[in-house]
Amino acid sequence: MVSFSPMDELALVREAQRGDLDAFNRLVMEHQTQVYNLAYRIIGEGDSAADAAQEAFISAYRHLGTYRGGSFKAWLLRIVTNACYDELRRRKRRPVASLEALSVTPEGPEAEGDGLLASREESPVERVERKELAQAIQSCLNDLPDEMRVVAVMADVQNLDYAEISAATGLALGTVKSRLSRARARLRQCLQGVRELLPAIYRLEEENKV
Amino acid sequence: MTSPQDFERLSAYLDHQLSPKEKAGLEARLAHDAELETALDEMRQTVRALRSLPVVKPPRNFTLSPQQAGVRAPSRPVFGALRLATAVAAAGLVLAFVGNLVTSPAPGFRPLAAAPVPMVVSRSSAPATALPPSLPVAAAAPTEVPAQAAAVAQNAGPTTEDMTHQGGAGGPLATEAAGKGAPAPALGAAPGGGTPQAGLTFASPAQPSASGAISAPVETSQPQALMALAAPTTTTVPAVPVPRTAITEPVTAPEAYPALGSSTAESEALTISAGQAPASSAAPAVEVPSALPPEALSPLSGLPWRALEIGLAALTLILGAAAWLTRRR
Repeated sequence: MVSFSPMDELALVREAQRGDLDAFNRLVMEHQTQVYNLAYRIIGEGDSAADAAQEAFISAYRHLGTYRGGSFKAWLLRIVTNACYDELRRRKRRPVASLEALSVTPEGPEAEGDGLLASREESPVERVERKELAQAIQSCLNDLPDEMRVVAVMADVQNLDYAEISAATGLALGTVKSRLSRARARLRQCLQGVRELLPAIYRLEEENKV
Repeated sequence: MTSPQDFERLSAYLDHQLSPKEKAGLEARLAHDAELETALDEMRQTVRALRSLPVVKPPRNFTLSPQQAGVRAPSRPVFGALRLATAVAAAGLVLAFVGNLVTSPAPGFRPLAAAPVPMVVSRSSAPATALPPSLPVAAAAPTEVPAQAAAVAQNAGPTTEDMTHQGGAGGPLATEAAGKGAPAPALGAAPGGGTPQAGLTFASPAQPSASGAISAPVETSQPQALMALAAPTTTTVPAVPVPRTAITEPVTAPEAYPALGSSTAESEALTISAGQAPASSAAPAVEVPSALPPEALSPLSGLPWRALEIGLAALTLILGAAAWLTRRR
C-alpha cells in the first residue's frame, strides 16, 4: 500500500477536485483497505461491503466539492459510514439476504486468513482457531444495534480515537463515549460464550495484557 | 453489579479518556472492588479481541472508471458550453420573433386583417363546388377583378378610396392597391365591362352567408361598406374582397404547388384558380400575378423571418436536448 504525506494527500485531493480522476484513484488506492474493512465490519458480509465501499468512493468523487480541508480520511469515512447505513437499510428490506449476512460466513474474506496476525508464525490448528474466533467476534458485532456497531468497529477494530469517530459519524463526543461503553458491555457478554469455545487463543492474548 | 456509569468510566479508562481526577478516583475504587476489576478485565479482553480481528483484503480495487466517475470530469465543460449555446439560441429566437413582429406588421396583422377573407373564401368556395357554372366565373373573376381593384384605386371611385382610408377589412386592400399603383396599368386592360359582372356574380353568392365576414368591414368602414353589403351594385367594393377569396382558396389545393414554380402563394393561387377554370381564363390569369404582388409581398418579407424563427427554434431544441443528455451521462 502506498502511503502519502498529508501534503501529498492534500495536493491529490486538489487535483481530484479539478476533475483529475487519476489523482482521485491514487487516493482510492491509499484508503480502500481501510474503507473496505470498515464496511466489512459494519455490514458483516463481503459482497455488500464491497458494494458499499464502491458506492462510497463514487459518492466521494462526486462530492469532492464539499471537502473543505481537514482530515480527508475522516471526510471519507463519514461517506463510507453513510453508505454502510444505506446498505444496511437495503438489507433490512430483504430479510432473506439479511439472515444470510447475519450468519457467520466462512467463505468471506476472513476465510483467506489474510490478516494482520497471519504474519505471525502459527500452526494450522491455531490458524483455524483464529479464523473461528474472528468469525465469532464478527457474529457478536452483527448482533449489536447498528449505531453501536459502527462506533465499536471504528474504535476497536479501526483504532480511531473519539474525535475521529465523532467526525466520521457526526455524533457528539459524549455520545461516542457512551455508545462505545454500551457496545463494549454487550460485546463482553456475547464473547463470554465464545471464550470457552476458543480458550487457547483468547488466553494467549490475555496473558500479554497491558 | 457494575452500573452503566461504571462501564462508561471503565471504557473511557481503557481509552485514556479520563481526566486525572476521574482516573485517580476509579483506580482507588478498583483497588477495593473486585467485581469492578473483573469488569475492567473483561472489557479489556473484549477490546483486545476486537483488535485481533484481521485486516481483510479488499476483494478488488475500488478505483473509479471514467464511467463510474460519471459526468464530472469530461462533460462539465461540454455541458456548460451546450447550456450557454442553448440560452443564446433561445434568446435569438425571442429576438427573431420580436423582430418579425416589429419590422413587418403586415404578416403580423395579417390574420386579423385577413379575417374576412377566409370567410369569404368559405362562401365563394361553397358555390364554387356546389355550382359548377359559377366556376368559370370565379376563374374569370380573379383575372379581371384585381385589375379592377387596382383600377378602382387609381380611378378613385370615391367609395373605394373611402373604404381604404377607413380601414377595417379595407385596410390591407387599400395598402395593396395604393402600394401597387404600378400593377394597375398592367392590368388596366379590362376595368370596364367585365368588372361589374364579376363583382356581382361573386357578391351575390357571397351575400347570404357573407353577413359575418362583411360585417367586419361594416363596423369599421361606414356607410359605403354598408351599401356594399346591401346592394351588390356597388360593384367595386364587394369585388375587392372577392378576388382574394378566389385567390386564397385555391392555395389550399395541393395540386397548385407542383403546377406552379412561382414563389408567392398568391400568384400560385391565382393560376390555380385559373387552372381549375376553363383554359380560356388561364391566359389572363398569367397577367394577374404581376398585379397581385402587393399581397405576395407579405409572405415574401415574412419568409426569412419565419425561416430564422424555425431555424432558431430547432437549434434551441437540439442544443437543449444535447445539454440534457450530457448532463445525464
